[in-house]
Amino acid sequence: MDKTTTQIVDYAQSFSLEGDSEVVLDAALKHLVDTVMVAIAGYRSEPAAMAAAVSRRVRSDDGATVIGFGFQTSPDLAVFCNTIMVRTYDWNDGMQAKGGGHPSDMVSALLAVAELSHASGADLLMAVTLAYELLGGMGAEIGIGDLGLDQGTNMAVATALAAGKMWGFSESQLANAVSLALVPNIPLGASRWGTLSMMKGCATAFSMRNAMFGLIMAREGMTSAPEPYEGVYGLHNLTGPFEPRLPIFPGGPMVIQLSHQKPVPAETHGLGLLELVPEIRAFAHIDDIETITVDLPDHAVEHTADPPKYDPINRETADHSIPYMLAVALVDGGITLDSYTDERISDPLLRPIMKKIVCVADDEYSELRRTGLYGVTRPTPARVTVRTNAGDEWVREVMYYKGHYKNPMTREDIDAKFDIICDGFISGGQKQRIRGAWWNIAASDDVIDAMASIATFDAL
Amino acid sequence: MDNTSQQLVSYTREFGESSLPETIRHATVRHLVDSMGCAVAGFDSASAQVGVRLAKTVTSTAGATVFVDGVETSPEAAAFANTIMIRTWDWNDGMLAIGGGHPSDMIAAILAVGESVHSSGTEVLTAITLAYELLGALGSSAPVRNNGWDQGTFMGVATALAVSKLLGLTEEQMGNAASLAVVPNIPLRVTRTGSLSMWKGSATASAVRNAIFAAKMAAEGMTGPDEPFEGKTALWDQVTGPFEVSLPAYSDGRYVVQLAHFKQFPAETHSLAFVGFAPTILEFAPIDDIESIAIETYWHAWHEIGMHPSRWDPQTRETADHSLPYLLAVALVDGDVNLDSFLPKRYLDDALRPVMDKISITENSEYTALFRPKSSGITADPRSKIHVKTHSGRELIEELGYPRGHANNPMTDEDINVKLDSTCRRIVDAERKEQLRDAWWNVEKYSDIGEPIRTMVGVLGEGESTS
Repeated sequence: MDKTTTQIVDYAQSFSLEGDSEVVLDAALKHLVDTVMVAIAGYRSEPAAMAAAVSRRVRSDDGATVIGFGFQTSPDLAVFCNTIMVRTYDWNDGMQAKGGGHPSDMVSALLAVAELSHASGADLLMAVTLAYELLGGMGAEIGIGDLGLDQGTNMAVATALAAGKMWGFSESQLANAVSLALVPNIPLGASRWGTLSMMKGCATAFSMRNAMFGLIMAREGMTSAPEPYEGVYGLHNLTGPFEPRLPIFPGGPMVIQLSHQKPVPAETHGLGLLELVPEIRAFAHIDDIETITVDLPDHAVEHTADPPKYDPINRETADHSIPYMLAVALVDGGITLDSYTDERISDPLLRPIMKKIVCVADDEYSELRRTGLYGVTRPTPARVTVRTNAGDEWVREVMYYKGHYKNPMTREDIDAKFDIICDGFISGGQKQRIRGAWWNIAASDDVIDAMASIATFDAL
Repeated sequence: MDNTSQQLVSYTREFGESSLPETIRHATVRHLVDSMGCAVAGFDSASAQVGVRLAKTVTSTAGATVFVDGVETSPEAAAFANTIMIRTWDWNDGMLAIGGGHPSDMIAAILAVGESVHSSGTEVLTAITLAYELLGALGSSAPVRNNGWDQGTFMGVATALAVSKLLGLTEEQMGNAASLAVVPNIPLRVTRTGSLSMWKGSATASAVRNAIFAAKMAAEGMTGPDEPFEGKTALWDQVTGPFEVSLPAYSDGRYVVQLAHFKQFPAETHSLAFVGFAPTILEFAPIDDIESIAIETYWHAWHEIGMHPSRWDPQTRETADHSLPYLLAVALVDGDVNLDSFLPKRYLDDALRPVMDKISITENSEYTALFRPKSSGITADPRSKIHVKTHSGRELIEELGYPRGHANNPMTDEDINVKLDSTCRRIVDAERKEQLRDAWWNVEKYSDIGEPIRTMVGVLGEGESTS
């Protein structure tokens, strides 16, 4: 084992939630419940159907549940399907570390291992909290995305450790699970640039499938490179040396508290802007608006207002396009999953509105985003200036959107989000059963009961 | 699609439209027969057994067979287990391109997918020939290993495209299969440095397993980045730098399947010439009389099997079969390198340490410069010098070149059959051995590849001793 592997394995082995305050457990529960809810939304997505079609051919007696589709398959395939469901609409949680990613992309793998090992709800919440802390601790030190690699790099490692711990792995099994998660499967950053493909919402599902397979292999005794970080041609060859910051803040808060949640399905940088839509609509009718200038940090302009985002051809590009999201919300009154249907995206009437929206990198905001980094969270400043044809002007600034660490979503907010997800899709009775099972997961002796509540959805 | 994807996909779609010449088909059959022998030998290895146990946990419609064991599982799981069997002893074929690897690591995946859709023997042969061609062309166009990445990088793409052809994917789906094989799965070369683990013989099995999955997802309509090679933070940016691939790999009509080398001994490629020279050394002097064996060789050999101190004290079999000091020492003491050479009691034997300590290895920059002339493509031009000195001061100095199995010193069909006897020794009984030998040499006559695959099942018997 090299130094980094030793450090993260030791941290995982000694990690415990005993004695931790209620706030950590409350945060873990909120993120777990929110993740299950967005997976239910993603069940109806196209990539989820594709993943299920491939996975359905494979059955396993000792398998894991594919959410909604109701069959059990090999754990790696179940993780692939379920991670796509969680992530595909970009409605799940996130963090803003140097090396980012959506930490709940890891939850499906933890659910699968919890199912296989008949873990209790408390074990699962421990593993979720640990996985977040590891991901944040690594992401705080290394900008995986800036290096041209993808989020799954660190996610696979964090998942391997948290899931391996829950599964009762020995120290050497944990080390091999780390190596097997990392060494065979470095994901390229290419999934996040230009016109986006389904891989925008599925890349981490591939990484999680790989991590799950690494776990299964390590459990069966497969050994892998003992120095995956510091060995010759190990990860440090790509990243340079770094030391994960574990925990991210001694004494707290933990990564799971700092990670943000999303009331609506939209890329993080757009969330604050979308909150302003009702006020903009009250100020002026869309036809009367001449321009909307949006000042943003440079990073946000680069990712959400580059040329392909002004003419989105698929939902993956649309939900990462500030011009699109703002335009469609101004016309329709807000953002829902219906905002991302092919029909809505290709609507020619939206193009002229998008053209009115000009995104500008603001130096002060760029600086604020950079220097305001606190562990895995940072300010997300945006200023909207609306000018009407008549010359009237309206200006607003937002700093912390609803769901940000400084403006957290409450349980009621999460329940309201679930109401939207279930609307016209899941019966009231089942909705209550799902809520009951997952909000009370901490008291459950075996996670399979809660998993059973989301195995299939009653027809309305 | 970027230019590189377009080029690979077009080549894949057009490949084999008119049937391949008999000499090429026969060259592919030779690699197939050799790989099946290696698989039999590899079945019992600890790492292949991990693959077999995992394969047994799933069942699948349109499934595939795990060699020897016979369980039917998903094509991915069968490909994983079977590729480890073929590769684990490092006895299978190879090539020496800058982005190289052992091309037969792709064979089990092609067989598994072929079995799942009932491809004919000829279709499978075509797909294997294609995969070799793609891997050879990519591997001689772009550096992978020198940049710190592993062989599976290009194997994933080549395998994804070859199995896409068997699955009948459209042009667009093939582009996505290539993208989905590359983008999520770039393997690190740390697997091959320092102390080696079971993963040394399993890493490419993981790559081809992922390639099948990529093709299946593409068949369902999943899309990947449309510029997986040339796009921002794609393969060129992150892994290889820009490169231009020319297909076919050789413009003079030769195919990669004709040039990829075979291995007589289960030992790392660069060691083969030395292991083959051991009898000459023993004729010259008994081991006890030898004071030193000084080897000068090209960088690749030195770096892979003669640089790291772990190679003089192998603690795992993966290190042992990638250690020139160990391989030469055991060849001198035992008179052969075979699978028994990689039992713990053999490589941990204290008595071998003093023999290994007689051996020193240095890089000779002239040989390094000669190793990969521009025209060599996937074969390379290995040259080394060995200098044996006895206590009494007698000297044996010899320049070593192409080992048996190199395209310029080829193994004959008869040699391949002799090797098959060796890989089956003490594993397969005589009758079953002849059945599988016959089936694979005549693979083209089968309308369903499942038939020859069935000769790989239930072969475990008393075996026969050929020694």
